[in-house]
Amino acid sequence: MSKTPQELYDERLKRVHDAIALRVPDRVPLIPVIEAFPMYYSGITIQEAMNDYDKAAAAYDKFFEDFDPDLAWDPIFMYPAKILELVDLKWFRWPGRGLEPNRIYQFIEGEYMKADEYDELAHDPTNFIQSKILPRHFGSLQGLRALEPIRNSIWLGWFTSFTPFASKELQEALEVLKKAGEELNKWLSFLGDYQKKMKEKWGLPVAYGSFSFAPFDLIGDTLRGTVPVMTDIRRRPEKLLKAIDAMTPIAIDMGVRGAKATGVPFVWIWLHKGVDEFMSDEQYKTFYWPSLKKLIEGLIAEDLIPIVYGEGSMNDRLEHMRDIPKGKAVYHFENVDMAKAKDILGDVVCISGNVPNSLLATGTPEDVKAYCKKLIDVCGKNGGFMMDTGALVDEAKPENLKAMFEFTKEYGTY
Amino acid sequence: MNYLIELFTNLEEDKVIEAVKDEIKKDTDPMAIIEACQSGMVEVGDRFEKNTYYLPELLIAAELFNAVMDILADKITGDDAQTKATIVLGTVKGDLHDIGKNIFKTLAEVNGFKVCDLGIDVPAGEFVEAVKKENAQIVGLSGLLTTVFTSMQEVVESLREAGLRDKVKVIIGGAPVDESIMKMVGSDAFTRNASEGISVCKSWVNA
Repeated sequence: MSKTPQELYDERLKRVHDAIALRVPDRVPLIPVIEAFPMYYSGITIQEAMNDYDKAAAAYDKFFEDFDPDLAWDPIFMYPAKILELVDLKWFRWPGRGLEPNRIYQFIEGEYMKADEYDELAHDPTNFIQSKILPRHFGSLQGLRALEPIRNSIWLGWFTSFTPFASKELQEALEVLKKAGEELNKWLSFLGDYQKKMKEKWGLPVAYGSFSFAPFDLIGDTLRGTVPVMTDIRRRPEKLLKAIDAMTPIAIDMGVRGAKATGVPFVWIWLHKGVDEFMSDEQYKTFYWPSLKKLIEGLIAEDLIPIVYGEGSMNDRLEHMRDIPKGKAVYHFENVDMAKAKDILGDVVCISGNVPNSLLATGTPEDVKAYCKKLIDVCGKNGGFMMDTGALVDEAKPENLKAMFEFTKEYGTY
Repeated sequence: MNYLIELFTNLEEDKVIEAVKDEIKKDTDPMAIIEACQSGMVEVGDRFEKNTYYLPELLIAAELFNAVMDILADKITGDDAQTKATIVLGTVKGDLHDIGKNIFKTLAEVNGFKVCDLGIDVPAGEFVEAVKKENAQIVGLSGLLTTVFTSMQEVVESLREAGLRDKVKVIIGGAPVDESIMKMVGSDAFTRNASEGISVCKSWVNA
């Protein structure tokens, strides 16, 4: 007798929670992060999916008819082009804005915060981000610059607090934000409806409650940029550390608020700049790890589950990463020696990842099965392991992704 | 000039600039100053390869070297530097990432290669044109996305159509490449690590 969607839903969530708590689940959970694959799979372009919610939904329908992960991604990664255009996001290129229709969108770094602005960021991150950084990130929100003096009225709470709103430029920015907000409302309802469908039709739990970032990356990704932040490590270490301290509670809050609002406990922390090649052990344990650890612990303290998503090589970081509460998080790896990771971290945290995206794109189903077998043999002993790809899934041969799913379900049974 | 090499290697930025200005005042041969900084740069590259220096140090060294060159720009005539070989380098069509490419470029130049950098989102035809124009021996294709392997393939294919494939070595670089991608693309080598990539290029030139 086939199971109801509700039964499947409960079973999948239990499987994932068991693996995370380092209990032995019924089988190895499957949690690949699916990005553009459903669009390639169903034959619509990324541009179509980013511009038409119904088309995106149809692509995901086709994907979920054929694939049944234990944690599933709704169309959140098909960011709404209409909103990106309205606000004129500067550090992003997408199909229709600098890219052909079927290319995956990309992040274009820039030095949006200057080296001499560290003190300002550390002193009052909210004010700095609202009135300085947002206007630099968004071409049509220049007027937000006028917000800077909003807290400095002659009395706190007096009507003159709103003097900045007398600015024509700010009023224009607010018009844009009103339109963007209306569209965001549509997009969020679309995602909400789709999640409901995922649960009710296929019994699929949504994979994410919210996203957050290592405090070092918050500064490096969209404020300073990679090259400037890496040189800041040597040129202005004290200022960088102060800024990291200032951003840490924000990183925690980012994860907590989102996850509490959605009621889904999984907070994905997308790691970027802490990889082996980027910084020395000394630099990692000074600038990267302490604040990331605080973020992980801060989320756990709120009963949330951090899924720390590392891409690239992190072999030299594993010993440091041991130092978190047991059975409360997930570490995802890409180019990491998984036997070593299991050995070092296995008694502390559930690990996942490492199935090479290149193998999915160019290999055969037999290659994929052999790789997954090795992973399950090495990492799957006594639970604490989830099957996942090395990076977000865009291009892959469908038969290879199917082989990963079918083989894991068959061979990964405990 | 050993003191300058040492200051450079230790990345004493202000002191290096000061020393360069002092040497100019003393009428030191500008080429001697450049050579000292180059030696420092080579040492930095070695330390990067040996994992005693990392990205912060390498990036600062590259900026420092450029700052020195800016100071000396109007004092040197012509470029009599010896080059090992010319590398045509670029991030392939559809990919806009440049950090990995730039690191590779820095290390290649430190190691005596001439680099013709085509930038990002480069169509196959531009690689072919540049190889012809520069008479290049090596083509470096960079990409961070898993969706641009076919762009890499197109470059190799275009080189073949232009009758240039046997005249150049092709190396692909970026986080997602591996042996299977190398075979699919039809390149001669792959690397996920800039200093390893340079070693491969050196082995080609020295062979």
